[in-house]
Amino acid sequence: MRILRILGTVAGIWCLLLLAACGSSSSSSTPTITLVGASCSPTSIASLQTTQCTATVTGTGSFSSTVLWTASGGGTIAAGTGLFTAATVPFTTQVTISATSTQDSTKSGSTTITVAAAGTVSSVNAICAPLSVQTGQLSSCSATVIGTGAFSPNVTWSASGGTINPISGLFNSSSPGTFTITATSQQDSTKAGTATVAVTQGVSNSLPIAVDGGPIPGSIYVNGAFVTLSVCAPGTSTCQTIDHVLVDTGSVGLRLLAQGAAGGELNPTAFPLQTDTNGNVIGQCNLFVDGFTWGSVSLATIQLAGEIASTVPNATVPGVPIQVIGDPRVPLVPHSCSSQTTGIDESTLAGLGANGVIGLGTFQQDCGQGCVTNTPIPAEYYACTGGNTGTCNPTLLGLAQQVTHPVWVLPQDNNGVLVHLPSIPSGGTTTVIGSLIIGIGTQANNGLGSATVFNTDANAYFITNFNGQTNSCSYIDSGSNAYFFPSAGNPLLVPCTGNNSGFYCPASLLNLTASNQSAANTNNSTGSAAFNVGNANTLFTNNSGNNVAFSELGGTNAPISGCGTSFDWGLSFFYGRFVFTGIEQQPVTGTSFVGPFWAY
Amino acid sequence: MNRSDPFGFPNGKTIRLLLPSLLLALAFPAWASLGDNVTTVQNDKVHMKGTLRSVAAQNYVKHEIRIPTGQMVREFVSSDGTVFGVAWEGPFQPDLQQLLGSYFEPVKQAVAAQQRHGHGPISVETSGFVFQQGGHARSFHGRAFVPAMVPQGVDVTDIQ
Repeated sequence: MRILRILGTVAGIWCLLLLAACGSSSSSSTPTITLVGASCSPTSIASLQTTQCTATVTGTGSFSSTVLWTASGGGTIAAGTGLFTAATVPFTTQVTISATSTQDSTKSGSTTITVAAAGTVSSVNAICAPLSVQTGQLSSCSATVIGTGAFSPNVTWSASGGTINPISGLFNSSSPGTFTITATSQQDSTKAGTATVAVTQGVSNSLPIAVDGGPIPGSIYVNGAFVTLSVCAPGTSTCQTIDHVLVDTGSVGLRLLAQGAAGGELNPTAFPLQTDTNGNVIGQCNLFVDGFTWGSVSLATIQLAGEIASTVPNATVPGVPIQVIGDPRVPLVPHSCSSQTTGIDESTLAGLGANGVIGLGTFQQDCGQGCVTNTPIPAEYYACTGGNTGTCNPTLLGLAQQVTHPVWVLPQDNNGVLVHLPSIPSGGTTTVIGSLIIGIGTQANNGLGSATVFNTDANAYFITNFNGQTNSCSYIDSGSNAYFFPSAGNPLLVPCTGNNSGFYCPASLLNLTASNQSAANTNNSTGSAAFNVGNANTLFTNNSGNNVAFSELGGTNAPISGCGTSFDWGLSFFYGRFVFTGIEQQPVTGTSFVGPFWAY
Repeated sequence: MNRSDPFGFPNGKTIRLLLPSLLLALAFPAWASLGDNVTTVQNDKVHMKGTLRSVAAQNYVKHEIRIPTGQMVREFVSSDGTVFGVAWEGPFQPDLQQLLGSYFEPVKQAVAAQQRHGHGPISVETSGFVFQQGGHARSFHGRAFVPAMVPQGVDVTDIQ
């Protein structure tokens, strides 16, 4: 109790107290608080200094003079004594001190004090790196504040264009130009530093995707996402444009069908054959889950819109290794290739259903270390001798010689791809146009936005939970033409009978939900995915059988040795979504994300 | 090697079959194993240059062949010695002609007959067999079994 001042009476005793009750018990009326006031002395202090605050409580009857102290704006106030201690503030700050009656919390009083900064800012330096970026790319800016005493090191960022994070200083612009980046001292707004960032137009990184039924007249490729690209003989301007190349996030590397017996578009003559150190020509038997492609490994410069992939790390020859399927320059398919799989020979246009496949999955090469240090594997790479009538035998092959992810070897935008297809009507539709965008978070058109990033395991799997079943070997694959998943006991998910037996034929459209999560021991993301499954027999006959794109197409999938079951999120999943595929070991600038991952 | 051998078997195989300890194998087709006798498991092990581990379960024995190139093959054998199911997984596909034996061509025909309208995992069921294969580049998995040969009391989901 510090002060007891009787100010007079109206209906009882007015008193001024700090800690104790007014002390009067002369009134028979209910104790009432009428007013609380607060004041501090002195009213101006510096950082870390103190000031003594007092409260004035007035009321009637036997009221309590106890108050609760609060301070907002930097500093602490002691509950028992009202002694306020200022924090170290970056600049001169108004702190509000409030006293609230504990007997009646609707009665409070407040006062303000001024806390001066402890030091002085003399200058601010700003730097950004890199100083030259392409549209959409990030430049990271940082500031150094120079001053005396306990000055504030904090700055606020601003930019003459584009966008800058006011806290982190990460800058980018979707349009080209020269931009001034300014860091202003929060303590002293008259002190600022600037940097200049030049933004040039980024490489054209967007290719139209057509889901159009494929290249074979009279035959519909259902849910096939196709792009047109160019390949050139390395180091030359001798280029060919190939249409209807299937976009496949489930495989890695470019594979193009040769002209002639294979029925493709590529004339392979200008493209050098890959050779090993003994001068043997390299052939490849590439196994998909449903078939194989046989051909040469050849070298090409690959053009995807304005992006040009022309070389591979550690290679001794120019060009990116691709597979030329059905290349007449190498021997016919070895028996060890064709006998390996029950799938069909996809080395022809009829078998493949496309003029090529561009594998844009999470791996850097199609085979990787398994073809470098293993024993030679049948049905992978072959060393061929004797021209196209000679023989081929399984061989090991170095990483730099293997069929390589064409985006991974780009000089920019080389961390993955974004595939976007628009939403389509229930029941399916004819041609759909979407986008294949190169790079993730590298340009204005490929930011992750609000997408959830799911890191995968070493086998490019994440986890899908559906109908109470955990599918630990699940994946997102634009090259699969439907959702392929186990019914997990859902009795409505009935397989079709007859020729469409690989698909589901429920009696009516099913609205289903699954949840996805990152692979174990990765980045711990979860997210739900709603999807619909319709009757495949009906879908394929809608619109007189002319529809080619279906967001409601689903099929069955097998149990897996080792990791249980598998949910394959095929192209049905991509309609109305932005789906990112991140390449292993490649970071997304400005985030903590590193491939391999999927995001949507 | 393949040039002189229409079945694609390594030449070393022919020599090994003459060894007395494996004479019994001559009584069975060298390409095994689905639907064949348990002795063909050894043929597969030799052909795939793998190591064999056998685990007894109720009503069947599971023979696991680990192949040095990273694949795992599992063969499921009933008490009467019949291989009623096979399964595989790994970065490469195993030699399915070897593994499916006399079922290889029928499976191949059934897969080709199915209208898939594109690419994706395979699932084929006929009255005679079930064949399924899924996964993606660098990670394949699949299985095949003969429903009529699956012993009573065995859950077919165990065949993996």
